Amino acid sequence: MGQKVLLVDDSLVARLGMKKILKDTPFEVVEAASGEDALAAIDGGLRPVFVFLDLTMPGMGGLNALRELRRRMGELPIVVVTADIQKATIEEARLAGATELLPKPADRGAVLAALARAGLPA
Amino acid sequence: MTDPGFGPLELDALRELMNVGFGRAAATLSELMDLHVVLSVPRVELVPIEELASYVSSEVDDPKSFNVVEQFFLGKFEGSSFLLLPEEEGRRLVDLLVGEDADADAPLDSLERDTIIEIGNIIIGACVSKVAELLGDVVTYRPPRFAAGALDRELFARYVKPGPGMALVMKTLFRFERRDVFGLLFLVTTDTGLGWLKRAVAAWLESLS
Repeated sequence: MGQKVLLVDDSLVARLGMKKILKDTPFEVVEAASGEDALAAIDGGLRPVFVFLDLTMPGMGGLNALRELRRRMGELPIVVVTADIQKATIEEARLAGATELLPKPADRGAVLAALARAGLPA
Repeated sequence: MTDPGFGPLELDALRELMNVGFGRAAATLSELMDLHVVLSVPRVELVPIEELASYVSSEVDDPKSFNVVEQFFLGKFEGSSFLLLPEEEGRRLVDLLVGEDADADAPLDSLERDTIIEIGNIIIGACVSKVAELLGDVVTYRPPRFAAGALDRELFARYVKPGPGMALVMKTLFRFERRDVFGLLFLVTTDTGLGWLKRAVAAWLESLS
């Protein structure tokens, strides 16, 4: 089993786009459609090496999910992938524990570079 | 009438496009106003044109008194975009930008009206252009138009050609953090635009597989 990358996004299309980018990498992609689903997976024993997280999601939303993931998973790289690219949002995400932020739609180069910066070359 | 069939995946794709488009709009607006714009998860629905007024009215608490900025966009992606601000919210927004306390009972003066139109123009332009760009189109715009009053059939009849077709309504609610101002953005595609949009979304989805 390869190392797992967790994709958290309420949009199936957004997840499809990210999965296409990650298709030829050694990582096994695990999907969650909400912050709640992601936390349930973590609480159920999932141990990803990297998380891509959307911010604008129903339910608890991405920022709260980010805080909870950070609390549970310590130094795990969590990259926020979001359409909300306001300076205040970026700062809020950093304060909540985001490793970095990629604007949507994320391109292949940016995604692979984020993985590489976390010591996970694809 | 164009076959309006959009499946769940196509609607999800449109929601995601709207999400990206409005994210750009919010970033532009927050730079201008130095305020954080809180975005909601967009909703996308197909609504019969005949029911557009009642649909939009049902989306707000009090549809009697609104400021509306409408702007028609032309391209393969084509339709009308509406920024809806409850009248009181429009005044608060003007206060934020212009720094004057508008008299709540007085009609909007030209400066206030121009401010609201400009805000509408920024939000609509950034959002629609981004959605079009992601789908490989370039749109042009007619000048924005302002209206004030009730969100009724008469108001929408000025902007959307009545007929038996369906309108694809993409809606985003936004709120200015700590300022308690909110508004709604709707995009309503024409019948022609709807057909192109369906093909463009299908091509986009195909590129993801």
